Amino acid sequence: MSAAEVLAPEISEPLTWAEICVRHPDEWVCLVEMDRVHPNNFEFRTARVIGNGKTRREPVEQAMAWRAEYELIGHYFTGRVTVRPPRPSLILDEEIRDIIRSGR
Amino acid sequence: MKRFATSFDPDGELIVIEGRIAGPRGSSGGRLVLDTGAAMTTITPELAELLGYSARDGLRRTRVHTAVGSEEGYVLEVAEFVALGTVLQRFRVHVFDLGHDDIDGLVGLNFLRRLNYEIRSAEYRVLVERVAPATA
Repeated sequence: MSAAEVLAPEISEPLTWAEICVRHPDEWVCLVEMDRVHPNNFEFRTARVIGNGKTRREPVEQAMAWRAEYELIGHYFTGRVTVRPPRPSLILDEEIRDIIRSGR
Repeated sequence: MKRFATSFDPDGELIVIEGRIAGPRGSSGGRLVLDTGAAMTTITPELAELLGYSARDGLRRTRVHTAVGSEEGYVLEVAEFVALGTVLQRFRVHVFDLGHDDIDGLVGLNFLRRLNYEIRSAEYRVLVERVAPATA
């Protein structure tokens, strides 16, 4: 197998979310061509996978090869979100407070 | 007043909503936790990278206290932020590694204060009344 073949970016056939979760359990995936049920909600009929991996970063690195071709790329975890994330305690000095308040 | 409804996963332990963010390299969708206790909307560095941003684009470096110590993040002005049916241009987010591997970020009060919203937990949906111009 040549280096070009090894590095060639891969894209899946259109898959439902259930199929994606079976194929990539408890992984992060990057998706394109999401056929949304509603434009502002997560649900979609099918999408194509352009990256996957156990860390958030792995699918992002694979997806960058497709960036020029797809304006919208989704980044999702296929497992359940079950643990309350530790809320970061941002140190709010006056400058940060001003940035937050004056931001659009 | 017209209300916009967003549904969330009835089996989830958190209120997770879809967010869409635009940057110099395109747009990205991700799942964000609606967090009324967070002052600022936060996204992960990976999502920022997918949009084409890096720490070099930050308005200001930040320090964040976590359970394991103090870590660095940065405040970033993204080209567009969309959640709960509301579009905000040039919206400021905090970029920080939340330390958990299952979400892309938090929707905090610097976004939510632009809205009147009602969390209908038993109905698994959030109702929103927009009170500011969409491009404000």
